[in-house]
Amino acid sequence: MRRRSTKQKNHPTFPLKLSELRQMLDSELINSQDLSFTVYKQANKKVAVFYIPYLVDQQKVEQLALQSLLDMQTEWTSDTILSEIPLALGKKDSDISSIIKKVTEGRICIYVEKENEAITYELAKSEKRGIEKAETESIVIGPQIALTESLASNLNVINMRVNIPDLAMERIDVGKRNPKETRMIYIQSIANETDVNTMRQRLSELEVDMIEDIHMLKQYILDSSFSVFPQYVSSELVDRSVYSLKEGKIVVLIEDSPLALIAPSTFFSFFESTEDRYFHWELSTFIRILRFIAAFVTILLTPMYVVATTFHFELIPSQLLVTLGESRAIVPFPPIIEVILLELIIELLREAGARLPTKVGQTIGIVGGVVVGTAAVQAGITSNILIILVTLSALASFSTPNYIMGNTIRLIRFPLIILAAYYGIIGLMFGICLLIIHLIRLQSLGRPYLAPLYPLRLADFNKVFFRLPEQYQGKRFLSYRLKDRRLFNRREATKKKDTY
Amino acid sequence: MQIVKISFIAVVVILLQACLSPSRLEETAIINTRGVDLVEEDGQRFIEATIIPYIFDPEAAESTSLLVGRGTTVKDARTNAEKQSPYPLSPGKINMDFYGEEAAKAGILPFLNTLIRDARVSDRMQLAITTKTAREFLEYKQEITTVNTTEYLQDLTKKEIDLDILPRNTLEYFTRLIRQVGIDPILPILGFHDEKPTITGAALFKEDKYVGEVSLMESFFINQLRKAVNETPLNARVPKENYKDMIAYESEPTEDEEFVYLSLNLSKGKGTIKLDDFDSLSFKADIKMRVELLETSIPMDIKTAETSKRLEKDIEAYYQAEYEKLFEKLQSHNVDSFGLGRKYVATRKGSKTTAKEWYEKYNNATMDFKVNVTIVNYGTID
Amino acid sequence: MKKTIQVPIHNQFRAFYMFFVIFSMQAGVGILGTPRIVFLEAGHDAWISIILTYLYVVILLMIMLYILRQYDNHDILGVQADLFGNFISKVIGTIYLVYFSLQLLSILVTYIEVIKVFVFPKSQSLILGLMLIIPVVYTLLGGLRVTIGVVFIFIFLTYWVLILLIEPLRQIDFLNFLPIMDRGISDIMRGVVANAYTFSGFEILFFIYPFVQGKDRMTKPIILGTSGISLLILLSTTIAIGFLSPDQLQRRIWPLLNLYKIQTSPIIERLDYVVIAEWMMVVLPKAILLMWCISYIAIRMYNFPKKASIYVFSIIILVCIPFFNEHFVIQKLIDSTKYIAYGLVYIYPLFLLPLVVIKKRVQRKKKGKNHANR
Repeated sequence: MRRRSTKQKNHPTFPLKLSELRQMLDSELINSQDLSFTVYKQANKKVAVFYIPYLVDQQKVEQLALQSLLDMQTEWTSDTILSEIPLALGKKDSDISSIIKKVTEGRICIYVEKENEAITYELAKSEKRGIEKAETESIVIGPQIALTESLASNLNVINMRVNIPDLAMERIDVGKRNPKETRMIYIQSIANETDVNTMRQRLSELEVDMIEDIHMLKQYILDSSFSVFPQYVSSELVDRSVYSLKEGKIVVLIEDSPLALIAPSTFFSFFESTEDRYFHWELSTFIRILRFIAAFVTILLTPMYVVATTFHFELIPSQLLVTLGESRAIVPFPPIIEVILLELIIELLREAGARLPTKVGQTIGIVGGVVVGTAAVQAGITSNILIILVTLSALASFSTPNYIMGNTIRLIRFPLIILAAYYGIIGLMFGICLLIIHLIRLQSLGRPYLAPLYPLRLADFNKVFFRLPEQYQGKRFLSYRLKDRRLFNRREATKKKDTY
Repeated sequence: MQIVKISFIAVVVILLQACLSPSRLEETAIINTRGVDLVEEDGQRFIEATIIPYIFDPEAAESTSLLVGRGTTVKDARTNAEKQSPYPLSPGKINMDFYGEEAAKAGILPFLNTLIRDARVSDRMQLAITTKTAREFLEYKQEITTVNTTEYLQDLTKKEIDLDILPRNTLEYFTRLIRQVGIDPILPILGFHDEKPTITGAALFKEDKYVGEVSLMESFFINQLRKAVNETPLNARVPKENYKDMIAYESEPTEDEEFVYLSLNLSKGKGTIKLDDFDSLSFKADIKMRVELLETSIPMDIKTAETSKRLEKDIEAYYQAEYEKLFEKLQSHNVDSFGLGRKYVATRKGSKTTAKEWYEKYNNATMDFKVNVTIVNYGTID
Repeated sequence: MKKTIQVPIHNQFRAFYMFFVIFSMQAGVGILGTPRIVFLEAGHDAWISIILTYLYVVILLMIMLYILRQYDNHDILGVQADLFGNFISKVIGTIYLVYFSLQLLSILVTYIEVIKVFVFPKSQSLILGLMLIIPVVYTLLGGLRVTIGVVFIFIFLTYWVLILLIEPLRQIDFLNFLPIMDRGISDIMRGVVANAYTFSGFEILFFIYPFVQGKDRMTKPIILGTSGISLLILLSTTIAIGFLSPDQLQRRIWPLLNLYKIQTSPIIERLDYVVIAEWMMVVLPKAILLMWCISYIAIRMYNFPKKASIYVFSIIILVCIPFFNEHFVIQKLIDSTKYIAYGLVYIYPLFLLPLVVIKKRVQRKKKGKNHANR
């Protein structure tokens, strides 16, 4: 609800008669039909109570404000009302335009006729859902509590978990027309000051109209907007945010978004899941390596198929050659068309599954996967070996814990497939070289994207590529140049002090 | 902005080189097996190439067929054979290469030359000699075997190589030895036995020319001097009279035989050649064999260490005699399959030894074999 | 031209990375053909030549470091300007520029030839050249941080292919090395000379020196870098001599690739194709560093704008590539590069050394006199 503002007529000022006030409100408010404007009388005093019903908590208005107003024994004046009504956050205001603004934000306003000031009470109600289980980042073990759309409850949830005095929650309002409350959260004694300053500067210098979600904010503050790779992790899991804070990263929350943006992030943080830390270290090392292999397979499997069938059949093992040749012989298209066709089908299945309700989505998956796949092979549109390869690489890409990264990996495969089809193994290599150079060029919040691989920090490898037993990880990330790197003393942590 | 520029250039790359013609798997006749023969027609020598390619045609019942072409060079013969094929022939996957007897006797290096020069050809291609012409062999084989033909033959030779009976017959190994001064290569000979393709023996090469044939057993002896061998089935015989006291049971037909035949399994064997005296060219071969006794033609009781020693000694004598016979045979062909020349070249300082020089000296070389056999076990009985 | 160079901190890199810079610069395509080139001169004693070359390179590197350390944050252009004056320094700088350009051209052209022989006989040089130049340009536009990063990461992505030499290594015949020291000293020294092209590349130290952080910790990575690559060259030459027969080795142009032809794996049967493709990642770092040197000299001596220098030299080199598409023309190019390398890389530092020493001594004396006078 916006004020009909631009051409300010000569505002009448307090004191006003109630009818004048009513008239003025009707003319100033766009949605004046929604305004509830009631007049109450006591002896010779008249009081107007006005608010927009769907913005306020009706019950509280009636029970706390109206009830106690009408029960008042003393004479109604601004001062007596303010002192007798059992509500905090009451404010006096004498500027009518600011009162109107407050009403549109969900306050109720009480005006005693012919007084110089009106009183506003904060009784806003915002509809929100309760705290629920994480949906997009599903994990098996560990806390599954997710952030919600309400910034207040998000702040609450995080603050309850990181209960230390130097947890900074800086407020920055982003957006010119409709400023949204954004919180930059970090632990002051750990986080790198340069990073904090960079983030603060990026957020506060943002000249945009309005931001709907954290993903929009993310795109505005990227280091490289032309890159396909996501440069900040966004997570809905509370414990991911908490862990990141502990590691000295900066978490950004914005009003109305159920996700937290975590910066700086590296390429490898997209392959991390909070679950990794809850598993035993051997297991999580295995899973992490599996994920990297999966990403590798996703990127290279189908391009290699194109390479082998289009140019270099020498690469195919002799035993496989006949099978592959015979299944390829019935396919009327060149390998590149065949592969792109099938990859697009898989992408379609994924997209259809994501857009449809869960139950229908599953059906689509089965129908698509089984029926279309079998039919395509029988109709001679694709070779059965390719079906296996495409499914395998799709499966591998879904093992990436971060949804956006998974999609990115699948996307970068297409240019590689095309390069492979045009220049064989050399073209493929050219694509891979460009890709790696691109990754080296990327930065996240001014920190290298490929850390700790480049710049090389061997000390961080146990947090990225494999995991050591938890008590051996007594140091925070070296790559981020944090203020305080020490988590705990390893010798103390590993000592078992069992006396019984 | 750089990314825009670069992607622009990338698009140009893609557009520019649409000219790179693909060699698609299903549109190539991938040569699988090749046979080379020398034939004479109207007084002129021709090279005849017999080619079995994979042709992936959904209409054709068989994915392999046989193409034959003639020409003055191998390449020419191949080009002529290509006329019978719907797709261009590609040498990238030649798994086996056969040479007819005639061709092998004339020297196979010219035929190999195209293969070595072409980088697409696999170095692990196997080479073999056929008893008849390669064409006859391949045609006959194509008729009688229904299984995937080349793979069958490949496995056939590969098995013998795994058992260390034959040295490796890959292109890479053969070409390595062919021009190496002081060692000569060996290739398997394939022929038919009871209408089935079989390895009939091993061909001795003098440089690239096929000069004589040895049995598989002899081929094993040669191999044992080149490298450490193991898990090879062996045969030996010992004179019966030495074991009269040990014979447990004798049946009618074996009574007249002079020898006891033994079946052995070599668990480890190694021979080393030493140049004993540089000037008189006397070599010494020290061969150590550890064997398991599997079977005797006449059941025997080997109870004591002494009898075991006796047995070992007789086996040693047998192998020593075999080795000496083999060396004589090699010298008569003037073929240095043992690789004595390598020792000579490695010891001789100063000027380089040429192959010709060595072959002249080779016939004067003497060799002293010393075989040492240990029987490590007798199975479950003794 | 300023003599001392101020490098902003974000453009510097740790001394540790010098290992990879020297390593990559000495690698490149040379290593593919080295076994044969040395063998032709020194026979089966080639490995001795390689060790001698390595020792010479180490001595040269120490001399170069000594020269550079006499000044504060000078590159070779600054040192020359100090010794001979601006004009002569510019002339020698231009020779360096030409040398680096030839070097870059020769490695690109050689790699393209390898691709043409082994993989795509019908491919076009220009497009292959474009595929090599684009990553070079893309990297250099990212600045020195990206340049060093590419050099560093590509090393890890490529040298695993050496593990694939395990099969030839197992089949080495030690008789091929006997008798040791069969060839005379002159042959071995000729082998050392023949190595010059392969081992060149460490001259980048003269140019990249001002950009290194922690210059006093530099000796170790540099020596280790050159030792590492020399060990690889030695290893590949040893395997090639031990595995191939002398006759084969004399005739194969890139013996190292022949060694890869006998290795197979269950998934990919022909690993030589993979190795040739992987070699792009060996060629690129060297090409990138060479191009960096070229653009650095151009910026420093002729005040080229940075981007323009990269674009201009890339295009010049790209245009030259199609003219070198015959084996013997390429050999000629390599030979001429080699001759410049003899003078510029292997002799010039020796010539500089006494001059620097004398100059510094004279200066010190002057200073001493000034002190005395006062």
